[in-house]
Amino acid sequence: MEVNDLVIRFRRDGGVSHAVNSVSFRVYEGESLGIVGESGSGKSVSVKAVMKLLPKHAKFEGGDITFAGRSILPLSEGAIRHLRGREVALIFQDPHAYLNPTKTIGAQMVEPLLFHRMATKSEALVQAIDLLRQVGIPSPELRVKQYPFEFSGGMLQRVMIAMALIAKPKLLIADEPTTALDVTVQAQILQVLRRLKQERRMSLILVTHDLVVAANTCDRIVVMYGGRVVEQLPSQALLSQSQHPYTRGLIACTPSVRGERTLPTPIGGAPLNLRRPLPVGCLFAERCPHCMERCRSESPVLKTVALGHEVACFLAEPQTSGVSA
Amino acid sequence: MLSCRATDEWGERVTQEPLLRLDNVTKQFRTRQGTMTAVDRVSFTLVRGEHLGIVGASGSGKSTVIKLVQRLIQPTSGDIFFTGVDIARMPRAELRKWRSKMQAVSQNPYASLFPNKTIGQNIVEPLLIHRIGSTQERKEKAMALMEKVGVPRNQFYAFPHEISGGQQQRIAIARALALQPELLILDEAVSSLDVSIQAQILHLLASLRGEFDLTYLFVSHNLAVVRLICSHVAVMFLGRIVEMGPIDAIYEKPAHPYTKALLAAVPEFTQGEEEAQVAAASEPPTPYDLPSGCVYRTLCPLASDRCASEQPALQALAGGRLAACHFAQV
Repeated sequence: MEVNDLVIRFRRDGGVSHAVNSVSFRVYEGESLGIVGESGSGKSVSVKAVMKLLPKHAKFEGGDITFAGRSILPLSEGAIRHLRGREVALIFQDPHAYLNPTKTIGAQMVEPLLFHRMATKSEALVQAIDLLRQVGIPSPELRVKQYPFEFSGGMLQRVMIAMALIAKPKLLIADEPTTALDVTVQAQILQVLRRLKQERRMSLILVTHDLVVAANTCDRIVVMYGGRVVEQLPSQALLSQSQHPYTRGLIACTPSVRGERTLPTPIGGAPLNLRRPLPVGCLFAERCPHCMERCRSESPVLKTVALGHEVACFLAEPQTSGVSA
Repeated sequence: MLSCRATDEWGERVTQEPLLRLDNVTKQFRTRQGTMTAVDRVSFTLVRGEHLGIVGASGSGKSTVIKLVQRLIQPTSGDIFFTGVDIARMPRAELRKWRSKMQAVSQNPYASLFPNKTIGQNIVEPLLIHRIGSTQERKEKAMALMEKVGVPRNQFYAFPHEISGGQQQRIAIARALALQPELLILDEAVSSLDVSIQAQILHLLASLRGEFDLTYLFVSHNLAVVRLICSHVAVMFLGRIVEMGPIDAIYEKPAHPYTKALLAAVPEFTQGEEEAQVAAASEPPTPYDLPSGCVYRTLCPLASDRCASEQPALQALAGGRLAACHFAQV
């Protein structure tokens, strides 16, 4: 999967929202990519665009999305449907919103298989039960006959994962899959995702506001701000090698339950208002502690500082020591 | 009496007078599925100048506790003493006087501000209700509060939707401070904010605490945030307090198996460290049909026969803490 120079704007009530302003990233086979950013960073819009799931008033103004060598943007709704669920599966923050409350879990789980004519009904049910077991749901034979309301939030998110995986997709996109869950449940769900990605050699895109979650779950991290990618690097390099002031700021303001009990260092100012015209130059300039004159007139482009590590900042410097990518 | 001892680790004025005391408070809700015990015999004492964090998963009863403290709902049994007065069964009209001494800040700042009133009118509102000051005095007070919480005075005539989420939360805090409360109840007050803004609000809360002589009751599912703002913590599980005491003692060496599981599950930047063992998937018991004995036993790795037959009481352990577990030791 490859996304190149994607630009998306929302038009509504005469205003324009600059949701995604030239974003590029790629996910390789069997790799997990974490897309991190605060609200309004364009992370969700970018991945929804990948499966053409955006509302009608969203306009693609540039760029290209390719999946397994094929461009997605010119595809018809019917052709996209063929990809969705089969090649690329998605899970979202709130499982309740995506499950039909009047159908049993089992009936909903086999839908992709039946839709894509990949199995008979009885075969599909066997697969569904097997998958529920793999995502850690106790007594799956009984659970497939139950309705969504009979499951807790964490269990329902496991159902969503199982359902997403049933057609053996090559890529799983998870948009804030654990944000609504308690921490103990979150830890379990992330473990399930890591394990399944490993076992099935599938690619994973995890969209999250939580840098720690992304770093612990993914191989590589893309940090977004104001609808642009500001840094892209291997997870292991995050703490020691990250260079963009925004990435460093995010690390510094993440509170911890361990170590010194000191208040985190906040990033000043407020997030970019994407409904206003974009400022000239670096989008982070206004909040950046290292802002220079140049940052207000010229927009920094991503430059490679080490293998697999790109930073969009004028201050970024190439690393002399090698980073394991 | 179950009480958390006052500490002066934050270098602030600490007295021994209890501001808030809950004594065996139970709240049951009658629903179509039967009687649900949301809060089960909860007791704690909050001394002026202490800051208590209540943590727990969703459904643990932490929000019900603060609704009880504010007397938005009435306890089924038990007493709630605020500044020494029992407010558990006080009539509504009389409550008003005490409520001005306790103010709350909620999770969603936009929903808690009046969208059709300006920032200034929002802050002035509690002063109007309690008929404090003249129009001019109220306006001056609101301006001063805006400055204290870091919102420029020229935003006085702006509407809530015109300012950012972080600014909205600052205004909600300013409004809560307008009546000069002693107790500030923070209900997931930073949970919906982006992490960079969350850090700003945490700094603000830490500075206001001393300046306004506030005592915080901070409910949150975020253990890392509670650790930064509170001096003490109470861990709730299915309506019961399972562990309670000074923050540092509990975070460094949790005594209750649930506290241990909770702390281990908080994601942390690991630098090549071994990943923490994650507990197997299991459903917590339903509050309609609590297990006999210890409520945590169906999830607990230490559970024995005794846990099913005998409910562990909160018992005092070293370091001024309490834990409700037959196997608790520090």
